[in-house]
Amino acid sequence: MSAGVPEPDSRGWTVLGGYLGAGKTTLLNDVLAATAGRRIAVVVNDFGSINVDADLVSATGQDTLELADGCVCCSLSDGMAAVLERIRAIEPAPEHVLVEVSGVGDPLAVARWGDHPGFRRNGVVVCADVESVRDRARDRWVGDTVLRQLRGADTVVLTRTDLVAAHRTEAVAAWVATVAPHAEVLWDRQAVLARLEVGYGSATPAGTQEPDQHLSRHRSWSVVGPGPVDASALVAVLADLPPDVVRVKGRVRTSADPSRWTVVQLAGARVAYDDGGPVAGPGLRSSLVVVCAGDRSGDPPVVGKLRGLLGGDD
Amino acid sequence: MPLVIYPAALVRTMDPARPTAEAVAVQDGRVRAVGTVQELEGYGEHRLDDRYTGRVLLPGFVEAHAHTMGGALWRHTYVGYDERMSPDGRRWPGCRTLESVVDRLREAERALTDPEEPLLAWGLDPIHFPGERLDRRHLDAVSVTRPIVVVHQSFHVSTVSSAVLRADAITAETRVEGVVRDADGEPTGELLEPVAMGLVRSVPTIGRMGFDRGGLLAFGADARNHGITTIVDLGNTDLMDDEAVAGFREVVDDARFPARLSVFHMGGGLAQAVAAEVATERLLSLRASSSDKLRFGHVKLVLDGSIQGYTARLQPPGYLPDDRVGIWLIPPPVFAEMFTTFHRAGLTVHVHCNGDEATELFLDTVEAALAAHPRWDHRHTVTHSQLTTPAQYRRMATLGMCANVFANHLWYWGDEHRDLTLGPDRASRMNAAATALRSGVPLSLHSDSPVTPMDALATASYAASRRTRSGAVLGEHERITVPQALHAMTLGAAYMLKMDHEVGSLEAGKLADLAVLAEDPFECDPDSLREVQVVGTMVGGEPFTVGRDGA
Repeated sequence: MSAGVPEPDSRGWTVLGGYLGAGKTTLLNDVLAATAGRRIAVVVNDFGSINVDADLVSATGQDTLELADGCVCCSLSDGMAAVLERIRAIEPAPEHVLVEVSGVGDPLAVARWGDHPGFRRNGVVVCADVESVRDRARDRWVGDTVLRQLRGADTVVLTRTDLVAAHRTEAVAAWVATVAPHAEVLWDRQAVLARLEVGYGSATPAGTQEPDQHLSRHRSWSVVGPGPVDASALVAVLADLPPDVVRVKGRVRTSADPSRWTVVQLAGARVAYDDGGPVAGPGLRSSLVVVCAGDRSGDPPVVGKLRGLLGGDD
Repeated sequence: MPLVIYPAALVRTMDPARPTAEAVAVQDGRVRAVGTVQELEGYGEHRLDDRYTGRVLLPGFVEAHAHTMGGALWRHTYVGYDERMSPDGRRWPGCRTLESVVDRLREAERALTDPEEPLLAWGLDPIHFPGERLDRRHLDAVSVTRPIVVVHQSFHVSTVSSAVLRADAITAETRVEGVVRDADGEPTGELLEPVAMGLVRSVPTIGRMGFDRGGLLAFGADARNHGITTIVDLGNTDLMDDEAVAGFREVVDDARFPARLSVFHMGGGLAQAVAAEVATERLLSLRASSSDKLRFGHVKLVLDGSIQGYTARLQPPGYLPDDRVGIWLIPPPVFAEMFTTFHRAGLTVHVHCNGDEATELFLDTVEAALAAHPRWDHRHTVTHSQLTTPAQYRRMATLGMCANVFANHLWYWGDEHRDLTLGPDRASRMNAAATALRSGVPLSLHSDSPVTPMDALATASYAASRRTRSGAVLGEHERITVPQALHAMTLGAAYMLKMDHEVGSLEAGKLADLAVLAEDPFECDPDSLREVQVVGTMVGGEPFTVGRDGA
């Protein structure tokens, strides 16, 4: 172990927070799609949802780690310290670490780990669903949690803005500004990704591709739902994909065997279905990422159909 | 197997139908009968065993909230303020001054043969040393070369020696929050909270994950030394792992292991939980494979943090100093989903609720689950239950729930709760054992070892006296009687483990589990109850002696 030796390669440490259903998963998958080919470690700390498309992570040379839940209050476990150690051991070193905090976690508290040797604190991003965040902030059980998350943010990302009128989004943005006055509020997804790219910029080697080149050519959608999914209906939807759909990946629980994952993967012109092992995450939610070529505005029809099948739109 | 009659000075059966007896007759690991020696001789061929002559026999105590980690800590040097007995039966006097802490460390350092081996110690509570702080200079006086780490009793702070600061490059330049500095900006060696404690990479952390055979053996021995014959590991993350389960079976089913053990599955809140559906299937099969001594099938969930850490979820009026209200460890909707899955499968769930808002959420969740999936005799339990209100206790009675109250807090942190965290009014109402009994809620009391020492008589004593370290009585109207407290530590705890038909009282046909005491605890006043000497135990007819390994 090299304890005591300064580590030259500081890995960016970006923390992603927000209450359940705030859109963290979608944003994380969008970031991963946009940073394909770069070395990014993903740390997930959540209860239930599968959080991140594990296949997408491995396909892009990224590493994913699971973090034990909870504060250390009543436990002697050294969960986060062990995660840092594992990230330090990854060769070659990732440029960045994206940490997704649980829906009731305090992202600012997690950000402090970014001061550890070998890491570089890179900001706190908190997702807020425009449709529900103000109600959540008044919720009997979690209102204070939601407000604390927003107050700890460097950037608040408003999500699901496509489902409401522009003036409502602006009203929520104004409200966020009163709750978290020092935070930057963004909602245009391209702007959000560009902002995160800027945050990562210092570690991008000169002469490589423009960070947002990939973004300008592809868009991705994430569909998550409680499942289980009707297997034959899923096969039917994915059997007839338009040519601009370049990637479908993820894992679903199907009605055929809800205790095991089915890994879905578009390879070339056909979709493969493989056994993904027993379901070992508590929330058992199915998740698919769809990537389309071009600057399509609005959802492609296949996304709507998948949402219907997965029974959720997280 | 022949009938063995054990005459005693007195047998306290905890069975109100036959509360006292002269002797216990044991056959095939079970109680054949209690009664007079003459009566018991009428049960046929027998042998008289006089080992308990002059002793007082009670049903073995049941500790329904502890962690096997409590055993593992004894691998390291104890430097706490109070005297404690290690599992091998050795008494470790409390370290009443920082000098005595340093002396204890010196003694431990001399015993280490490998100069590279780090010295780890635990149990330091700086609250007893106002105006003084243990720092690197104290530890450097023990050794300038050997890495030394002292973990405080809160487990939220550690103090390290200069050798550790050097090895882990913790310097004036270190930016991490929680690194305490002196006037020159140099680290003092004190590291606050896990973010700063996690800077120490050169020395392994004091608690470790995974199945720990040695720790489990020490845990059993610790129970034996305190008259406890049934223990709970309240929240284990390894039950999905066949090797860990096999390890438990190998240790606990061995006749030499001196206790029964109920291992709860840690379903969420402090661990990367497996899906509740997957865990349920596994637990149902593990439950079916339980033995007389080793039990599986119950579930633990953790909803909030701790009161002294200001992380327990509180309803208004909240904490004393400011408007903090605590944190959730599981999002409420996820908790409802997890709980309902376990409930539907017929499992019993104990939920860590320190604050009254956590209790409230748990009660709402149980109510909804019962409406959707009616079920009788579930024995879902609020564990810790430190701030559960009278109204909540009335609801718990209606919902068929149990309370496992953290009585040790009254002694260990009662003064702090009165003066710092809650104020005198709420502190006087906390750990409301009397209210639970008045409301008809089945009651147990616990230590949460290693948070406080596993010692059933001390735990009962704290609930009966409600005395704090400063000598004050915190909430006289929440005191319970000594017999009520001892009932809580026997049948009361057995009930919420669904073992009350087997252990917790001495009745014909139940398992022959005894606590062997030097005097009658029923005759003690609440404060002296914790001075009663434990001589040994019997588990399933197998006798054990304090401080000695089993046959």
